[in-house]
Amino acid sequence: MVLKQKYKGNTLPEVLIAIVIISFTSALGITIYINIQQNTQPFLKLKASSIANKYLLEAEGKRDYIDQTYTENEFYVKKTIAHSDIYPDCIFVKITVLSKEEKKICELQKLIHAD
Amino acid sequence: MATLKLKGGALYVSVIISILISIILSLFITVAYYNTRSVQAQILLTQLNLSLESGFEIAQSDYYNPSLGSTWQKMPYNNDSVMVKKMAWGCFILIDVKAKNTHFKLHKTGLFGSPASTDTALMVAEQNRPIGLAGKIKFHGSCYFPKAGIKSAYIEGTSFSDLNSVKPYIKTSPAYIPGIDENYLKTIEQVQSNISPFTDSLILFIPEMLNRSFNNKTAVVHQGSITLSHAVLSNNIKLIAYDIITVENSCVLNNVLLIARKVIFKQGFKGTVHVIAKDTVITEDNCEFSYPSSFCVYSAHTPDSASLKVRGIFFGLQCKFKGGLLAVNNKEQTSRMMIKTNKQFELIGNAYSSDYTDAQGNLYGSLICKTLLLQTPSGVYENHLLNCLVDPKRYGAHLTVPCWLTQKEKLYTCAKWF
Repeated sequence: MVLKQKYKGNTLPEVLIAIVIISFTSALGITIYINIQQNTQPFLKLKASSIANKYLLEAEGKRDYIDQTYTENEFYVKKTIAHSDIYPDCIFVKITVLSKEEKKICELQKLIHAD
Repeated sequence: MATLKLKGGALYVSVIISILISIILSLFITVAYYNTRSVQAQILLTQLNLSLESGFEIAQSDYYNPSLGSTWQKMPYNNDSVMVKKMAWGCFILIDVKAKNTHFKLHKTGLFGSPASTDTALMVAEQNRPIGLAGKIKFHGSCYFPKAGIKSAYIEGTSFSDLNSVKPYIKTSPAYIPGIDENYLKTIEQVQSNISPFTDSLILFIPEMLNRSFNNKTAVVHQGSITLSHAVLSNNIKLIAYDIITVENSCVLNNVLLIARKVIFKQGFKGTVHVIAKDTVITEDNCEFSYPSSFCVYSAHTPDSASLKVRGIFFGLQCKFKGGLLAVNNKEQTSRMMIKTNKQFELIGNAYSSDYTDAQGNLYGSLICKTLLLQTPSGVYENHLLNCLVDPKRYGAHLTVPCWLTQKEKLYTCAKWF
């Protein structure tokens, strides 16, 4: 069979340089993306926030106003109770969610009337 | 000099592919950025919601300062601020909370009371005389009656013979009925007397239709006497009259507050209304008041109409009322308070009278009064009940009623969110 149409080809150095450029761009982009995700930890924060909310509701429901620390999945959950100066019959319930490395991920607070 | 010639075709393609990859990765990075932003916003919003709820807790505190009702208070633990407004709305307490941070603003208003008692059906003060029962009488809760107990009476051609069926519910009544919380009465007095430039907005005439959000200032109409007909008014509206407010049955009122010396609801009226009257509330026949409605008759100072010997709340025939009825007298006042129900009356909620109550019909809630006073066409009978069912258990578990009694620990529950 004889090809009537002429096809232009690329040399090996051209292709290699092209592969290097594409790889470099991809690697750079993916590194930046992963860095953003790791530094901000959005999903972890969201999970921590929902855990903090859960423990806050639980403390309020059971009227359990004592300082305590819990472990939940990959988190430490710390419940802290403080009295309000302006409203002495109210207390602040603070729930702090920490990572295993004890780095604060999320903190929620609520004032509760606890006569 | 020898030159190496490289064909540029593949390079062009690689640059184009690189640009495409860059664009796609930039999109990824942008998505990641907005994802992070939205997560942060979500957490801020969760905290703001908690601050909003904290506002409702502040309103329940004994140290709440009503003068701060129109100022922002900064929460001590973060950048959230809350504005907490609390006032009497009929017999219920209206709590309005706004919360804001740098990104969001939230607002919530609710009508608050306390959980209904499922135990106490009827309580009267010790009178050293028995309570006479006639007609169809049923109790489904504790009844605090004088030591003298109960007796069968013959009124309007009917008597009650089955004393044994009600005896298990009878308990000994206290010397005095529980008092109304002084702070509660002060809150009612404030609403009667004050128009605040910070929270109220005066309007000159009554519009035919107005739905005012609790996010705005309260729309206040202040006139000598008011007659309401064909008006459709909802929510944050306060109608104040020095003398009489008359409400025709052509009106549609939803959560509106009426303040006057005397309020009259014409025959067949239906709506959700809160009333604070100094003298009297009269509802003609076939009126229906939806939940949560409330009537309060109270005056801190002796009203001009002190010549009235009996003030209070008077219902016509076949009326239905869901909410709270309060008729309370100041100790200095010589006139007597009365809550008068009528045949086929239905109450879902609580009633309190500092003096007399004529209880007839079905009362699904608690009734507290000093003396039972039955009025029939044939006469007036003190310490008598005729055709009355008192059942606090039927709706009590799910009912929020006005919180007017002195309690060491007040438990606020919401009757309605707006």
